[in-house]
Amino acid sequence: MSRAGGIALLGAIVLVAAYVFDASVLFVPGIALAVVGGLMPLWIWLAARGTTASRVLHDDRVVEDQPIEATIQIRRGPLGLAGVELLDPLARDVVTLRPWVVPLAGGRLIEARIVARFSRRGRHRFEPPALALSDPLGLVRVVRPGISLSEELLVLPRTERVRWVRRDAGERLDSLAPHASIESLASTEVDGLRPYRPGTPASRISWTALARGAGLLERRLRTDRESGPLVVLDVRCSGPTERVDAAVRAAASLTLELARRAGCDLLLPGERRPVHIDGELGAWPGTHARLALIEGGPDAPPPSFDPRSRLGDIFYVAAEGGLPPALLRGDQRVAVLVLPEEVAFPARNAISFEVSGCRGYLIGSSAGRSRIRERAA
Amino acid sequence: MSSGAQVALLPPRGAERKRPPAIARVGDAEGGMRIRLVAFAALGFYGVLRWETLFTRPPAARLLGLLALAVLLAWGGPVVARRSRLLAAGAAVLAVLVGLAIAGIPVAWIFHARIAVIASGIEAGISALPRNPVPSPGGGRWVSLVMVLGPAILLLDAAALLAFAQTGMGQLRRAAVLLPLVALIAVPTTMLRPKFAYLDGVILFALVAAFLWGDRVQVGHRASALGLCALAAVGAMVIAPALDPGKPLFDYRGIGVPCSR
Repeated sequence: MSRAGGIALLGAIVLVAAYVFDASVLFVPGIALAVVGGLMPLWIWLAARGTTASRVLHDDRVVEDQPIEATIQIRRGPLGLAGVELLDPLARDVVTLRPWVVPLAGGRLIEARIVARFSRRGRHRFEPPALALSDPLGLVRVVRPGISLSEELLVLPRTERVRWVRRDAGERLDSLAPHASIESLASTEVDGLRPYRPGTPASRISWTALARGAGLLERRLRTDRESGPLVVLDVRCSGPTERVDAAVRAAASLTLELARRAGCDLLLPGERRPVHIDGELGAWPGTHARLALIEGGPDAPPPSFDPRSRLGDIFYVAAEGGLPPALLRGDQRVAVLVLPEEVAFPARNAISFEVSGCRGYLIGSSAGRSRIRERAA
Repeated sequence: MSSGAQVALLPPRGAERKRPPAIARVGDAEGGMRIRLVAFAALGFYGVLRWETLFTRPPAARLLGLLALAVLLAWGGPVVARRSRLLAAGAAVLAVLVGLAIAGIPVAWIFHARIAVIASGIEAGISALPRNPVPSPGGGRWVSLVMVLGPAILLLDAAALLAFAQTGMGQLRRAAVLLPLVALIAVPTTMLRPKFAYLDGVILFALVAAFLWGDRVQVGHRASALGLCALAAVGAMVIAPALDPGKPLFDYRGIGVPCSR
């Protein structure tokens, strides 16, 4: 039996006792209990019929831990609202609002803003908010589903600045822009112009641009991309998912930092071709969204890249320990293995930088890597 | 991918000066128990006051002592029961014995377990009750004892029900606790119709409502709950005279008299 029914029955029993024993005192509580128990469900049912709730999410993307706003509109019927519980999947919790009991009074539209923060990346789908209406005495509860459509929100991985532990490593990264000396001599196709960097052969200086007063510029060749830094993301992990998240954040942070300096490539798991992000960050929003949706785990695809085809420096961001064999095969000037803080590095290399809960271990030149390979073996 | 969301409820944009829709708070369990106990004590006190009208010289000290004992049992019962159920049962039995002593049974009789003497005395009191005028002048010892034993049983019964049903006080249990207390109020008002019967009814409804819903109403909903109960009480007060026939459906007072002759 419902609570309201029980109260109505109690009222009826008290009324019967009042009639049988001529107990005038019992008439008032008997009638009042019967009325409360009998009319309360009717009131709440009618109030629920005229009440609607809708939600508008102000954005469809948000970075982890950044606030996102949603506006919730509750339109109440002419019979007012008693106890109102907002059951919003975005809020995740039951938000109990104070009642608007007085019928036909006050505004009929109640608006509230919800500010939510999400601590983990990914795509989230939110069903429309529902309202649970109840009477102030807690006898009746009616759930009214919302009228708006379900909404999607993409939570992007957070990016942080790289904290250099060894100054020389930072300086080295500053000079990570594709270096003229390692560019392929066979590269002849001009891809555009860029500011002159010391060490560029005079044959690549654009004298016509200098003559026009554009300053000292050099011709960029098509193969420059191959010689630029590459961030490789490996999300194979049998450990906790927090490690995957940390690796994704580190890859995003590194990519953004390197791209701002002179552009860089990012190779995502399961992809054959890296995404190029230039200094203007035109490709960054799309890449950031793809990073948000990466699923890690033991069955995640490995990064399919051949380090021998790259001349530029490689930042191998992995969610799990172990020295990737591919990293030891390359001939890059710099190779850096980036691992979550809680994962031990297989060799005793110094930490170069820290970013987003990960540490970068400079593996060094190809000769140095050979020594590591021997030690690891 | 799971994620935790922190939520803040703000006023609508452009209306920052307005207060946001307030979030109601839910009362804690301990607070609820306290409210129930206060409502119980208030109902008992009102019942004792009504019961006193049955005497020309009411035994106020005995009746208030019984109320205090009942409140002590209702409050202390769960505390003792948390340590030991056996100890709690012993405390309940002890409360009944103390209640008998407060009602007027000599302590020596209880101590020496003179059950037969006590039983015959109570029987004599019950037999004399129909012939006893109301309000009672308190002439007969056994009649007075029985008239005090009545509220003692009702109060201790309600207290024991409240004490040992503290966890998960469902509506049925609340009603079970209420019935003896309502009887404590209803019996004297049936014998002696109060001057303002419907006003007394409103007071009784207020106390019953406090006991039934006092701990369930959320902090932000108290004013609306109060308004709703007030509305129901006023409505009932208006309707009650129209429904009250002014005489019982059958003569229940006549039932006992022939039997006692």
